[in-house]
Amino acid sequence: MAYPGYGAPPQAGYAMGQQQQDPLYGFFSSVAGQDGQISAEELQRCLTQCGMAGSYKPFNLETCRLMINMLDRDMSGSMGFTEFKELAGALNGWKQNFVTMDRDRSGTIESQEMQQALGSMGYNFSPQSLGVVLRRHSTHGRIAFDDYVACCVRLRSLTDHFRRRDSSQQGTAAFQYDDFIQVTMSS
Amino acid sequence: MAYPGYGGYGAPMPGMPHQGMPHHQGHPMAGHPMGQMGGQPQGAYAQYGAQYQGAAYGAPPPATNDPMYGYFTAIAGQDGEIDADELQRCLTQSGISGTYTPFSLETCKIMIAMLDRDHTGKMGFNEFKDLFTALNGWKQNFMMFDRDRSGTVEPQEMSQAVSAMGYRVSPQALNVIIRRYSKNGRVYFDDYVACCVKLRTLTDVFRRRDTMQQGAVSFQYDDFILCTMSI
Repeated sequence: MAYPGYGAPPQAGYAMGQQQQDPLYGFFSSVAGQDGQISAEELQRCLTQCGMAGSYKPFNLETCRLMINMLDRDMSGSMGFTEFKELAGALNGWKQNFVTMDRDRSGTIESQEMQQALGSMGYNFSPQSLGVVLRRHSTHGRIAFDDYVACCVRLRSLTDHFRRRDSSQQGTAAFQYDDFIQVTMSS
Repeated sequence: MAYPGYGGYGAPMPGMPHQGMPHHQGHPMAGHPMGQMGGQPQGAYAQYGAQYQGAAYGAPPPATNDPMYGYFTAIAGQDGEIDADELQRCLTQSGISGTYTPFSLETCKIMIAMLDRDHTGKMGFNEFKDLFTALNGWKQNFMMFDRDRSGTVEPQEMSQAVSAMGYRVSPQALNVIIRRYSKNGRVYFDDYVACCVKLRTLTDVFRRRDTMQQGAVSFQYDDFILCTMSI
């Protein structure tokens, strides 16, 4: 079974010198502490400062927390610069997609457009699952940029977790209850 | 095998009375624990896990003199249903949070999702009543651990609160939960409730698919997304 693509592939790691020349590094290091890691609150500030949301409203704290979790392979609850770069890549891809659909610049898209967006990302859900996803991630019947990003982030996290457990790549994965709770309570 | 955390599904305690609508006097409830609960572990109110499912189907029509109905209809529109913003207003007006901070919009969103059986994305009156019952139980549990009435509990107390509801999960899972719901090293009431909502919904979803009661489920991808993205 084909698994969906996520847009921008993961970025390779940076050599120290390169890092410092990266414009994003300036934004990152201005909020990161000594440990070179940022929390959800700091990520929210960082994304706002570097204008990642563009003319859309800044990301909710909850969405920032989901973003950290998506790339938090060491389960530290915080994000380093390499992960931040990877996130920025994914966000840019998702944003371009959204901007293309948000023709009237209302900052929101319709369910139909969201469905198309998900399809173009390679997701192919049943009408029932799609309905559930759309209902959960809309505000007053429309999907705001933050809703859309949160949805993309969660889909990517959950699909990653699922795929890692789908040993035969048949589209089936077994979960023990405890594992299921760990995966779902953080995503 | 003993279902891990079957207690976690809220094994009902025998002889526990049905939790009816709270006695309401029209002003915010003070932060005092209900006297009759005493110091018992609150495994009992996990019973509403079974309760609310029963109440959902074939529930009697709401009594027009039910005070909850007043709050609800004042806010619900023509369709008799409320969305997340309206739920937030409704809960704030009802004073269910007592002296704790009111529920965030995100928490209200998932409360709706938890009970949205007819998939409308909104909440009707019976669902609202079920929610209120659940909230009271969760609040009582929280207050047992928030002894200094700060509106927050420590990580250790959060673990205890989760266990008190009957969930049996690993220390690792508890760490995930605590990390997810902590702010500045403490767990606030609103986040605790969000945690309860998610734990209950996800556990229900899992249990319904665990036909062999083995504590394991084999998911198809599409169904997995349906389950996990709904809350």
